[in-house]
Amino acid sequence: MTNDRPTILDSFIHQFHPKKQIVKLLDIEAPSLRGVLDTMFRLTIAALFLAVIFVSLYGTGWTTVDQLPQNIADQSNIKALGVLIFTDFVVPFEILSIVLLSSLIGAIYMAKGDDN
Amino acid sequence: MIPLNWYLALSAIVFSIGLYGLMTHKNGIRMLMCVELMLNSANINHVAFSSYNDDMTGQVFALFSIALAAAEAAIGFAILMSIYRMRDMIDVDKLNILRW
Repeated sequence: MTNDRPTILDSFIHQFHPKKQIVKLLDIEAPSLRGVLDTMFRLTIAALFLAVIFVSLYGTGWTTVDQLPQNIADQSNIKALGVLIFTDFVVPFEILSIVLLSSLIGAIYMAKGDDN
Repeated sequence: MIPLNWYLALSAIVFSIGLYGLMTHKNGIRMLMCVELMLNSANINHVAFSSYNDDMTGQVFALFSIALAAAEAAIGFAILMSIYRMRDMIDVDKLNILRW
């Protein structure tokens, strides 16, 4: 099996490969002002988003129950979860299974390609 | 008992990390990973609200959302693989095959 063609995983690993980074370091290219500004701009947007969420989070009085967990003796709620799925939410559950199956079939068909 | 605000703050932080990664990186796989981060922060919110309001519906919804995230990741990776076969790269800035 001598397949020199890089796989999709290679292109991902490529970025962390030390050799590649050294080459990148050697042909020294000062980070362009525009690139730095771009990164700062995006960081600022993310930080502003976070700030807005935090302000609205701490400015709201969330009504919660007094004590957690409600049932001290049995803290696991897996059983109730399963009962709920198979009684109230059985139709969405079945639809979800069909969605998952069809999307996986489609993904495998797309990823298989034509060559094999 | 941990206050509800801490869960919401954690969720907001994880969502912001995902948002920042989605804006800065152009690699398709990295962007998919950041989308997963954002989906998982929504799941944290679902589970926190559901357990703090004593209503199991939110946790069921979080389970459904995890399954949908799996489907989304499978489709996304398959699309990236077929794009990589065609172009030998997955830089989403240089892809214009959906443009007419």
